[in-house]
Amino acid sequence: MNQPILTGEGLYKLIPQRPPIVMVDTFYEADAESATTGLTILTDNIFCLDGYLQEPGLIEHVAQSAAAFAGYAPYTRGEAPKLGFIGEVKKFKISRLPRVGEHLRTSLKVLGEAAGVTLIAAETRVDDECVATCQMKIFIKE
Amino acid sequence: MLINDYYTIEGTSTQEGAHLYHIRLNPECQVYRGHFPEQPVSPGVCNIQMLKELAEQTVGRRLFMSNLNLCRLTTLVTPQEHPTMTATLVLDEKEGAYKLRATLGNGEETYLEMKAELN
Repeated sequence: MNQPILTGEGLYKLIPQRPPIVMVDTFYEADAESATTGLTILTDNIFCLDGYLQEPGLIEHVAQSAAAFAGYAPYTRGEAPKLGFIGEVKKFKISRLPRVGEHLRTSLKVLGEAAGVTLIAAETRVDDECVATCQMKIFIKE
Repeated sequence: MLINDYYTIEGTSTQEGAHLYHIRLNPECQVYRGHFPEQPVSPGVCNIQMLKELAEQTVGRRLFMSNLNLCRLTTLVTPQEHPTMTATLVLDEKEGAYKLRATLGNGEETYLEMKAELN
């Protein structure tokens, strides 16, 4: 497997979020229309309860994965990440909550882009098991 | 609660089958340190979580959100500009599972609307 493009605090080059709400720790790869990100769930994650990452943590992980994807092209040009906001979440289906210690790996694909709105589809896995899928519209503030 | 100082409930009421919660956001909550530095914006997912917790409070038990069918976030909420708001929840129960329709807003203005399946 290739080395990830960015890990840990390196992600701060792609997203404007900062602790305690950073929900991506690996940016594995990207091309013009897709990206793969990751997050290892630590005990001090603010969205964890009783050893499980709760629903908002999963949703925020996908949203920040999309933000990281949106920040990747500016990053390659040496620019700072822009603020991105979730506009719409659709069909966010969760088969189970991930446990502390598990590593999420999210593949996202751009379905469309128009007037500062990016529509993405994402699938989040723990190893080979799909734990969540969704569609999301993200607004990028210029 | 998950982030125990994100909001407080200042009052509750019911209206035509809907459960209303009057909410105050806490601008000192730790999430604003990172969302975003020097530009506090209430994370959409925290508002989704708040509505889920209010649904739990309404039915009196913990719930798992298996499907967030749709959530539209129509207003950028900040604790400075939008310190108080009303959450309106309608819950339909069927065989131990719930369908939730909820909105978050103030007066005529809607900040967020969502439909979800909980069990």
